[in-house]
Amino acid sequence: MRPLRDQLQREVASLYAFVQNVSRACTPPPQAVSYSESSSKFFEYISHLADRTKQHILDFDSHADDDAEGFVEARTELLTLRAAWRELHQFIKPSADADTLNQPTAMVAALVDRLHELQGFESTDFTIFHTDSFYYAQVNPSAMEVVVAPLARIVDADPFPPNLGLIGIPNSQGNALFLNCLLAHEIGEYAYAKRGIEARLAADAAAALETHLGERFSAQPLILQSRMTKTVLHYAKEIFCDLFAVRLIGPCYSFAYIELFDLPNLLNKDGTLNVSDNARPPILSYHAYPSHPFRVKVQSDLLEAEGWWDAIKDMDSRHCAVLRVLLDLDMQKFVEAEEAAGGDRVPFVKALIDVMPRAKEQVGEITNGIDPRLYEYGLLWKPIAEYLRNGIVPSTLNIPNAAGTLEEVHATPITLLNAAYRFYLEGVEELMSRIKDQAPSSAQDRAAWMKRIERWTTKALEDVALFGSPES
Amino acid sequence: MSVSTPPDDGDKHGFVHSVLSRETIDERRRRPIADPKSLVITPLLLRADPYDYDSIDLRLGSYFLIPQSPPAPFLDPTEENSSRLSHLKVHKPLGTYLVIPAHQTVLGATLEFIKLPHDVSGQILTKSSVARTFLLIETAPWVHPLYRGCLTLEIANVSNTPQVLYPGFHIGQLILLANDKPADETQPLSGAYVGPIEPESPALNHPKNVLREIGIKRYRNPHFSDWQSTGG
Repeated sequence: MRPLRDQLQREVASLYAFVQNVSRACTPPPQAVSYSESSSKFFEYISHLADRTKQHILDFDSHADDDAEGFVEARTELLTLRAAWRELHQFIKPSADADTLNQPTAMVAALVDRLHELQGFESTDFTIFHTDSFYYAQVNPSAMEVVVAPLARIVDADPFPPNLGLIGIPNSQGNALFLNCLLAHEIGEYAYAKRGIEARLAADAAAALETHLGERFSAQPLILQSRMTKTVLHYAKEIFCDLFAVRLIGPCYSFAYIELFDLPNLLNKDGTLNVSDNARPPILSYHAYPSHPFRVKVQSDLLEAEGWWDAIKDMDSRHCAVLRVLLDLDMQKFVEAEEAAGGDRVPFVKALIDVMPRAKEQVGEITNGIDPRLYEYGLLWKPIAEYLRNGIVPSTLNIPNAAGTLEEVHATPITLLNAAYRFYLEGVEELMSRIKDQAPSSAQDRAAWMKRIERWTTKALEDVALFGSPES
Repeated sequence: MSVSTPPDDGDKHGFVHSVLSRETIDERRRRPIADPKSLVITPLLLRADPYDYDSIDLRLGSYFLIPQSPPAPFLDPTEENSSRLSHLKVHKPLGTYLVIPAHQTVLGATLEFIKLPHDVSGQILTKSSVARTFLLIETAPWVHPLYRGCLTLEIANVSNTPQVLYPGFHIGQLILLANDKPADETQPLSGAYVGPIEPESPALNHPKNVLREIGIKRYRNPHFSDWQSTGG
């Protein structure tokens, strides 16, 4: 048998090669494509971490001559390094895949600028990575710290950049615009984690469960109580993030949500809400999430409270009809539906309803003072629609001022997104009627012009970002 | 070609084909979008002095199509996807640059989105400072009335030296010429190139359709060199 020292050297070399392979996608990043500043920041950190790790491995003494305890301790260090890099693996190549042509660059920049308006988030940034499955995801910043901190400590590297978040988008959606309004929810998850909202809601969640379950909750072992509370907190987190997203960007978030989950399918032919057992998607809650109709109901309530509903209620769109029917629906209907289905989740839904005011309060605290841009939307949505109807990028608008003359104005990204999404939902036929040989009944033709509206809006977002730069 | 301010408003015809001056360009830009005489140029940066006396400087945009050999051995008008597959799309954000090797070409676009009035045509020219480096930006420089979109630039480095292009730099100048008879703005717009915001692959005409129109009954397929019917 070979000496222990030789065998350990082989294991060390294997780890060195492993780190090389995992970090290769971004050390250096591919030169044929471009990356956002936040992606570059992430790659620089990974590169730094890889350099420090490799150097540490090169300096690693095999510890073959240590005593048994020392040997185990030293060998465990290698295990920690490998485990950390195995975790990082899931983000590195997917981040390198999300170059500026494969992520909604203008949208992300607009959302990050919007987030910077909130106190305490002025220097936050996000690296986008691709997900294989069709879901949006935010990597909990504290989870990232848990992965990186032990590694950084061992190899004497810098800590993970403190204000850098990681958000995953489905790899097919890099070119989409409006659907990516859902990123606002993931930014909400970042805020939820950074501000420790879960800890603030935990007592309320437990108290609510006790109210609705009595001894069936309080007599349970602590671990079970904790698990039950966690379910309510999961529900509350989704509600918090939805409300945060609506506060951040307005109804365009709800439209994207309705689109993603095909919620117009909730409507009967006459436009009424299908609340029967065969409603699709169901109005019953999932194990870890409230039902989609429940979540949109909560969003529509906030849109009404904020004044957005009055500005959008006359939209000629089934997306708006979904908001309307859910706005009119009594929250109690969700509880009744759970009861009719067997009742397992009734206390959790009831507890969620009890906790929601506290969650809303937290959203209000974090987003305090932010201008919803409702007034601006009221002034500019029609001009923006008119520009789009004429096939023109709406980044510079001529609108009449109080003196009766035309004034050149630039809408903010939030107004652009909401107004353009509105046109996307209700104005495509009008646009197509201005173009030769285009049939609104053709899904292919229609999809092409919907895509054009997204591209014009993207261009407008890019342009207004330039108007805000010192040069202009 | 005379350089004079055209009759501004009113439907006066019969004037010479004239170049729009700074004042007229500015006046046209300040009209409501529903006015067929309105002109759009956005984003117009450095707004203190965006125009020259008789032209508007245009900047290079951030998106490019770099020619590449398609899976097929040539650009094939009989294949629907041939045009799209013959280019590699590249994004160079402001602050970065693109190198064009000597004697190579690339499709780019202006940073500015343009919408021309119904009574104005445009011509884009290479800026003289750029032309002197033997970079040409246009081989199809004419812009029709009512056109809307970023202007596609057929950029060719005809020099013996690789050249660096920075998006955001001035690269061309747009000359606007008043027409004696306005285009009919009530007519539907042609769909193929309405509102591009980045360079787009050319829409190739299938030889079958073009030749049939002029009475040709058959054409040779470049893949098989055999004769095929135009259906005419």
